Amino acid sequence: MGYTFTWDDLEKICLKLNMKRQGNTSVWAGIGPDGRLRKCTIHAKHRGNIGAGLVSKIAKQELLFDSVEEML
Amino acid sequence: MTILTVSEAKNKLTSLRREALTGKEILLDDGKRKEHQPVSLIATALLDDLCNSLVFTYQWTDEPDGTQPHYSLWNNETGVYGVGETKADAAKDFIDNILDYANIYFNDLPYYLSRSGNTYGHYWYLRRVLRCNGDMDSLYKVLDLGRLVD
Repeated sequence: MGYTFTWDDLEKICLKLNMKRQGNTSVWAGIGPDGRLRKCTIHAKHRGNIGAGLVSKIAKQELLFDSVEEML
Repeated sequence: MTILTVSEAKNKLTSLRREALTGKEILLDDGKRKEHQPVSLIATALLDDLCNSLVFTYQWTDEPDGTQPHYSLWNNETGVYGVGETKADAAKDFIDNILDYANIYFNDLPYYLSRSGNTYGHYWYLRRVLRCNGDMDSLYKVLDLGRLVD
């Protein structure tokens, strides 16, 4: 089953991971409760859903989840 | 390789720089702090050549469809991406994002070079970006974006 995420959803997930927006840029970074450093780009200017392919990349390679489902 | 302490190097920095320009790498040790790693004095052009072998590769992870209207361009080496209604817009967005990331990264190197995440390996790629000094033609060339949006 496919899941959809908006950029607002991604921002909330980043906040839970202890990440903060870096100045006025679209870059977010922080060290999570697990002690791991993460960084991510959030496109506040874009509305609507993030593409499924990009969500998968962000989940596994940027936010270090094992799967997209883990982000729910 | 020549190894000098900082105090030795201070007194002959001009001649050491000249030697480095010929290709010689000079290692500087901190005589007072033995636990510190040595620092290299090396020709910038040699480092640039080394970095030129690092290639940026991409995937178009999304195209407009019924669920969302954007192209998404993913860079494999840095995990930076660009999003836009056209491929050209996504490439432009990617450039904005990687410039932001490179500046943030190099303003807080101890943080991003920590081994607790996956940002350590981005260093040399982001150095290539910063060496373009914001010149868009150089960036398109270094980032190898031309072939993606033509």
